Amino acid sequence: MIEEPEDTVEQEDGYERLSAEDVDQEIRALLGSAANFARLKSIASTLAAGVTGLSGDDLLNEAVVRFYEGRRKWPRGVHPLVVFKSAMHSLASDMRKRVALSPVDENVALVTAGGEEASADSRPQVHAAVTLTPEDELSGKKQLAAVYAVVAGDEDLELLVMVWADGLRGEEAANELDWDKKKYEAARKRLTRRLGALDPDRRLK
Amino acid sequence: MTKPSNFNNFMDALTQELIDMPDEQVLEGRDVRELQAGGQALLRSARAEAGKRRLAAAKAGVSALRNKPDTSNVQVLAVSAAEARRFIAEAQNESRYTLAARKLGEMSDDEVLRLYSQMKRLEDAGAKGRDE
Repeated sequence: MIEEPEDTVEQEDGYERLSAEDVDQEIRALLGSAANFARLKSIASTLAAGVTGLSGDDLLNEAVVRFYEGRRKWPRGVHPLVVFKSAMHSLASDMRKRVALSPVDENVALVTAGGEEASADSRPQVHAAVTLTPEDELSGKKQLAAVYAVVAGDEDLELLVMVWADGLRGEEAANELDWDKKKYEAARKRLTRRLGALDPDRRLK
Repeated sequence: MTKPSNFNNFMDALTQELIDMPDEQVLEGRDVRELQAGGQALLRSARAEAGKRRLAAAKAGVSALRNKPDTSNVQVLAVSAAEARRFIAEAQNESRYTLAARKLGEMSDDEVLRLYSQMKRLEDAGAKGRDE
């Protein structure tokens, strides 16, 4: 379970919200469909990539809990997958900030001095946290690096990640890559599958 | 022209592409039963967790309320009808309260205590307003 940070999610005002009953209906419809559950898992595991100790399943579970708790509102007229993407994105950002605030970089092992070659100072040594600039944080550099790591070695998928990160998609993206529809859809299917199967223990730390 | 390369663009594109993909493409090569079972298990556990958290929040709220001293209640419980009558009579004389033209003697003990309680609450509210 994700630890309980205060929900700092900033939800834009001006949206009409769904009632608790309607939210329940939306969530049941989403989770009751195998295809939509698979879509949700792909989105969740991609968002969890780059956040130490967070799995896509944890993230998805926390988002559903918060919708049922009423801590997260559901805007009317927005596609349910987009609603979930926004909720999980906010949760993952909060988690990342909490990890970043920690003085010890949890991405590396704690090193303890020992053995004959160790210096006289036997106090535990820690690695300094790798610092990302605010610009890096804003652009999600670390998360994007985690996605590139998942597709490393598959040139077509690397190219697809690149054009999507550039803000292109669909026909526009296919044209940019000079791919026909068939090739584009095949690569898209492989990429979403690969992201959905992201194992938090094996991904880039 | 493309936007600056970033993770948000990537997530927006990924989500929209998943929406555009037909179900058959999304499900190809996947265990549909396992996905269905996973979705239902998530629904059950998340609803249970949300219920637990809401209950914990409600309990915390009640406990906070209990710990808050309520002076007016204490006073109401501690006072007798005779004392309440004395307090109301003094308040009328001091013009602190404008009371309906009704003789105190005509009021029952219950009515007197109810009125006393209301006046004390007004006093408390006034004192709190001045403090703030």
